[in-house]
Amino acid sequence: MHILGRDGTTSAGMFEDWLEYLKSWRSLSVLGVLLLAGILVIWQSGGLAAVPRQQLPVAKAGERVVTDDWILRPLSAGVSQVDPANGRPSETGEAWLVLEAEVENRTHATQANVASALRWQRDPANTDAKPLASNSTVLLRDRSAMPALQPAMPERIALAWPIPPGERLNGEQTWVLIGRTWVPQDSLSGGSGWLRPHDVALVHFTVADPRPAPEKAP
Amino acid sequence: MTRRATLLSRLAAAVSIVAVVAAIGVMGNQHLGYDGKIAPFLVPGRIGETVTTRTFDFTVQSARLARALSAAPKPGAINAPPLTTSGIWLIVHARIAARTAPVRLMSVRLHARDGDDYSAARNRMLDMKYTRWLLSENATDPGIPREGWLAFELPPSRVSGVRLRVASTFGDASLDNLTDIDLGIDEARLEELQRDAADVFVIGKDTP
Repeated sequence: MHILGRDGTTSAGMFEDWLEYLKSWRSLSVLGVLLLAGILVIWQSGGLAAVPRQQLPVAKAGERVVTDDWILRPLSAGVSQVDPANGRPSETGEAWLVLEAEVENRTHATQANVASALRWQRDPANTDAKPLASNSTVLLRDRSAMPALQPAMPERIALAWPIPPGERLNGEQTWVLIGRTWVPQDSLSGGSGWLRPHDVALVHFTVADPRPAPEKAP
Repeated sequence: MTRRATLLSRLAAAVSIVAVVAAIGVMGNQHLGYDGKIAPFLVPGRIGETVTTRTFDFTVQSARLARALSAAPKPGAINAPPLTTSGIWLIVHARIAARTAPVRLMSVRLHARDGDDYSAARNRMLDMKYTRWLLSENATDPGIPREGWLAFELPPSRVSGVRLRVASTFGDASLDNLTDIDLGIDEARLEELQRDAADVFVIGKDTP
């Protein structure tokens, strides 16, 4: 069928010729060769390789790391035999890896999840392992547990991770500082919120376990 | 059809298309969005007035400042040190009356003039010596109104103009009533409150 334009010319002739050409084996061959050549070029230029992991910047002790939702300033770390839950020395020989930091809530509402923003990378060589959130957060100025942090009020806190029985923790330890993004309209719920956690920086501290090495089994 | 008439009809079609696209754009921008659709219904009020919500009546009786906070311990209990703050404590004394069913305040916050929300300091006050005085930690039955306290930590610079927002539903009080009570703290009142601020305010012992 020919389509007539307002000026009386036909536009269908050329279109039908192209359609016939595209249906031919010759055109399919040309398309196939072009496709293979494209894949080859992409492959050779490294386009099919795994995306390299992002090299995170390393923060120094006392350095401020600003994410969208927090200002994080890791200060020091060590192994402590003081129970973070009550501030008393452990009577059962337990110990905790403790990170002290100054943190400030940059959002517009109270937040109680600072433990999600400072996570311990227990085995830095295993990059697939997710860093661990602390299960004990203490406000240093009066040892309140699990404090909710208010906007624009910097606080010093301690985060603690229990060290497994029989294990001694010595040497460099790594923490991952994690930020989130304000999403005005989440595609799942349609609502707004602080979502999409992403690694922002690393911080390293060298710790020494004060406990004697565990006795080896005979 | 003359050439002029053709041009005019094409121009009219183009204008109509642009107008329809613009109207769709305007309608899209008028769309509330999910947050807007489930937003709470604010119930305004002032200090001293009784505010009536779907589930409770609420009256703020006083608001004052303190540099540290404690509570009268039960006889024989260990008296832990006062709760300090890097800002200032704003302590509200209020009365709540459940309307038809037992009610408990699940969302308790101060709304600052700049839009920041400061939730009540509940995590730090889980000790029994505090919880028995706190309105947010106790349910209220219909016919038995309860008086008690709400405590907030905030920077002194954010105290002026704060409004108290409480609801009996958790989180953002979506699709429910949320009080919006002006605590009457302007700059002059703030100066007065700061001058009278207690070094340690003892809930249950000091007068509201």
